[in-house]
Amino acid sequence: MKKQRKGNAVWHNVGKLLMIVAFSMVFPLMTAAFYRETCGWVFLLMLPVTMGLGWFLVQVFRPAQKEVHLQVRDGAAIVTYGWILAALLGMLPYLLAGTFDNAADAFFEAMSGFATVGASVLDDIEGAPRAILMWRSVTHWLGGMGIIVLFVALLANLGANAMQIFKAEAAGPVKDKLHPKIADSARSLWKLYIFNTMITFLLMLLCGMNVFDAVNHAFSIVATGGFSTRNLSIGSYGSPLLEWVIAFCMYMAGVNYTLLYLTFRNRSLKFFWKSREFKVYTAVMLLAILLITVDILPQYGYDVMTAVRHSAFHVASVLTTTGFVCADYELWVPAAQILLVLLMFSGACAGSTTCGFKIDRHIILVQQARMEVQRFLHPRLVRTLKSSEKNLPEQTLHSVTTFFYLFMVIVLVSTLLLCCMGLDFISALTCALSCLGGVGPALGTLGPIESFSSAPTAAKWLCSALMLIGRLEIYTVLAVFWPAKHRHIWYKKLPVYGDYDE
Amino acid sequence: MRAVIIGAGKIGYNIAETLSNEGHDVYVIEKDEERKQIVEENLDVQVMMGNGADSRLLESIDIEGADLLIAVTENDELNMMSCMLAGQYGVKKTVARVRKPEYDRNNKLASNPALNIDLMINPERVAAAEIAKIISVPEAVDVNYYAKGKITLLELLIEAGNSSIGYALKDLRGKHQFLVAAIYRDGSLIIPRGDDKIMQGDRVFLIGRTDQMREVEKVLGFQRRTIRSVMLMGGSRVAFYLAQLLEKRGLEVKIIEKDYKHCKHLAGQLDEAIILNGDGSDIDLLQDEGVQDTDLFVALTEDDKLNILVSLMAKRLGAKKIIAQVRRSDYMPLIEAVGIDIAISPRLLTAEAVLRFVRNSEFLSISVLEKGSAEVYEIIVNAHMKRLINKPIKDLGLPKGILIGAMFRNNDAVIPSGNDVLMPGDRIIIFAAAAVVRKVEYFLRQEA
Repeated sequence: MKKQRKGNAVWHNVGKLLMIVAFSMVFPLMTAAFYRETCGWVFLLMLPVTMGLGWFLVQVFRPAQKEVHLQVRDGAAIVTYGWILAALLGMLPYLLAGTFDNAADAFFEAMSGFATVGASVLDDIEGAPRAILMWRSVTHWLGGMGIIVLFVALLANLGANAMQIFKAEAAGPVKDKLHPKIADSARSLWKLYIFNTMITFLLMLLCGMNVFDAVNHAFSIVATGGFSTRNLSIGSYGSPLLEWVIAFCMYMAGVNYTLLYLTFRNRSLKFFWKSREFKVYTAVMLLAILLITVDILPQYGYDVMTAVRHSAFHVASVLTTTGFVCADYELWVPAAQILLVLLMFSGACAGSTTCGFKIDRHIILVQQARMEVQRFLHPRLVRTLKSSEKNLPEQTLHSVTTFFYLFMVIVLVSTLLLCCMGLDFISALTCALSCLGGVGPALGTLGPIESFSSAPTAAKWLCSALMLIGRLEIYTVLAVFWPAKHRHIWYKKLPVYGDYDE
Repeated sequence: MRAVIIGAGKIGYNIAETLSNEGHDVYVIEKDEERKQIVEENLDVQVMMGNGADSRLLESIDIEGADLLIAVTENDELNMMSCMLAGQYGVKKTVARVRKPEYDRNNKLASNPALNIDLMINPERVAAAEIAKIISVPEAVDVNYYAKGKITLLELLIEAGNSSIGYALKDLRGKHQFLVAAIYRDGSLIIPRGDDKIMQGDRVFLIGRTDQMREVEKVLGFQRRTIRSVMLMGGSRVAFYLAQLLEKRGLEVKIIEKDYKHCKHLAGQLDEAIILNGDGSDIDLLQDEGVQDTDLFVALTEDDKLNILVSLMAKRLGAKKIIAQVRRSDYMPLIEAVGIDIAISPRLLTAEAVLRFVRNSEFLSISVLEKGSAEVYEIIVNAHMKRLINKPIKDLGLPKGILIGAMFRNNDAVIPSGNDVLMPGDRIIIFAAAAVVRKVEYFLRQEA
C-alpha cells in the first residue's frame, strides 16, 4: 500500500515535468509559423499530445495525501523516468516531420539534445526545416540548466522533498544551495541562465549572425550543447571574430553558476579569484591552448593567429563539453588530438551546465593522491580535503573515487561493446568518452565533420544510454536500475569485512 | 590613574602587579574566592568578588571616571561585555582578551563602536607572532623590529667558541653601520664603551638596519641560519596560529597532536602543514618524522613539564633549536639554564603587550628587553622637543644608559653617529637601561 503511494508521487511529478516539455514546443511552433513551414503541424499536434499525457499522469497518479515524503530513490526515479519520457516524446517530432525514418536515430538526436551532448545523426542540417532545428536547440536549452531545475522552480510543490530531486540532476560533487529555499535557488539559477542566453544572443547578433542562427547558437552555447544550424558548425561562418567570441562564451558557460550568482548579487569579481576550481579551470584551459598551439603550429604554416584561434576554440569547446567545431581537428598531429581526448575526460566547473567529469572532482582526486603519497612517508598523517576553503566530509571523497571508477568502467565496457558493433578502436573509445562526457564529436569515423549517422543502430541506442547516464552523473540512473530485490544476493556473495553477525 | 582589571588569572595578576608597583590605583574583580585571596595577600590592590559585567559591582568601585578597564577573564564574551559596559560609564581605555579566532578575526565585531574595545588581544596569537619573529632570525635570543620593520634590534648570546670573544668593541668592524647598545652580563646591564671586551656568556644587544643585519651579525661571529623545517608538538591554538604564519612563509611545518579529532580540525584549517596523529613524547615517532633533521622544535602542549622534557629530548636527538611553551612563570629562569633555547609564555607576553598599550601613547612602541633590564622606545621627534633637536647627538647631554639607537628619516634608516643632528619629523629609536628609564621623559618634554 505504502509503495503504491510513492509510485503515485513519482508518476505525478513526471507528468508535471512533461507539461514543461510541452510548453517548450511553443518555440518551434512559432518558428514554423514565422517561416511558414509545413512541418508546423507536427508541433501543433505534439504540443497538445505531450500536454495531455502530462495532464493524464498528473490526474491519474494524484497522491492520496498532500504531504508525501519522497526518498532519495524516488527523486532519482522522477528524474530518470522524466528524462527518458522527455526524450521519447522529444523524438516524435523528428519522426513525424520525416527528418529520420527510424526510432534509433530520432531517439539519439533527442537524447543528445536534452543531455546537451551535441552529437548529431543529422547529415544535412541545412536541409532540415527550421522548426526542427529550433526544436533541437530548445532541447539543448531545456537540458542545459536542467528540466528538473526548471520544474522545481515553477511547478514543484514538494517542500523539503525538492532537494532530493534537485540533487539527482545537479552536476558536481558538492551541491550548493543559493537560497535557504530550494525553489528560490532554482528560480535564481534559471534567471541567470536566461540572462546569459540573452547576452550570448546579443553577442551573436553583433558578430553578424542572423536572428535565427543567433537564437539557436545562443541556446546551444549557454547549455554547452553543441547543435549548430550549419553542417560545418561554426566553421561555416569563416569569421575569426565570431570564433573568438563563441570560444569566450563557451568558457563563461563552463563557470559554476553559484559563482556567477555570487558575483551578480555582490557586484564584485572577487569570487572568481577566490574560487580554486575557477582558477584551475582557467589554468587548464590556458595550458591546453598553449600546448595544442605549439603542436599544430607547423601544420598551420606558422600562422600563429589562426593556430591560437583554432586551438582556443576547440579547447573551450571540448573542455566545456560543448562540441562546436570550426576546423577539422582530425587533421592535427596526434599529440594535439590526444590532448583533446584528455580534455574530454576533464570537464568544466561543477555547478555549470557542462557534463563530464568536472574539474572539482579532479581537484579532489589530486588532493587525495597527494595525501596518500604523503601518508606513505608519514603513516600517522591526518588531512582533510578542501574545496575552495571549505572542508569536505569523508563521504565526498568516497563518492568521487567511486564516480571515477564507474566512469572508467562505463567508458571501457562501452568501448568494448562499440568495438563488437563494428567500430574501430579509436572511434569506439572516443565515442564512449564523448557521449558519457557530453562532448559530442569524437575521433575516427565519428569525427568533427562527420555525423554519427554512419554508426550501427545498436551503437546509437548504447550512445543514447551513455548520454543519459553521463548527464545525470551516473549515480542517479544506477540508483533507479539497481536491482533492489536481489540486493541481498550481492551482499551474501561479498561479505563486508567485520560483518560477522549475519 | 585608576584601573579596573577583570579576572585575576596569570595575565590579570601580572598587569595588576605592574600597574600597582607603578603607583596606580588598581581594582581587581575576580569570581573565584581562592584567586581573590592570593591577589589580596600579594598585591596592594583592591579585590572585589563577582562578575565583571555586573553594573552594580562596577558602580560600587566607582567605575565612572576610571581611566582603564582591562578584561582578561577566560571568557571571551564576558570580556567583551565588560568593555561594552565600561563604554557606558565613560571609561577612557579598554582592553579585552579575546581568544576565539572566530571573534578576533572578525573585523566587523572588533571594530564595532558599541563594543568599545580599544585593544583586543589574543594571547595565543601574540605568542605565535613572537615565535615567528624569533624564527626569522633563529640565531638570536630575541628580535625586535622598529620603524616599520626597517630597524632590527637583536639580542645575541655569545656562546663558547664564538670568534668575537676577547675582542674590544672598537675593534669590531664591518661593512655596515651598527650599534652595540648594551651587554647583559652576569645578571646586569652594561652600557659598553669602545674598549669593553666581548666575553663568553654575554647577551649583546645589537641595532642595525634590517636589510643589512645578515652582514652585521657576522661582526659578532654569527652566521644567519635559515629555518626550513619546523616541528610542533601539541596542536594548541598557539600551534595553529604559528603554523598559519609559517605556511605563508613557505616553511615545512609538522604538527604532532595526540587527539585525532583535534588533528582533523587542524587539518581542516591549515593547507600545507603535515598533521600527525600521535604522541609527541614517543621518541620513535619523533625519529621517524625526522626530528634529527628539523631546524626548530617547538613544544606547545598544555603541560609545562612535558614541553620541557620533550624539547630537551628533541635537542638531544639533533633538533637545531628548541622553544618550549611554559605557562608557570616560576619555571622561566630555570628553563634557559637547562638548555632550552627559548621559553615562551603566552600569558607573560600578553601582559607585556597590554602594558605597552596602556602606557603613554605618545610612543609608537615600547619594548622591554631581557626581563626589564632595558627598554626601547620608538617616537617621532617634533618641533617642541627642544632638548633633542638642533644639536649634534653627542652634545645633547644624554646620560650614560640612554642611546639614540637608530634614526629613520625620509624613509631611510640610519644608525646615527655623535655628529648627526635630529630634526622634527625624524622617527627615532631610544634605548634606555632600566636605571635611567625615568630620565627619557626629561628629554622628550615639549617646550613651547
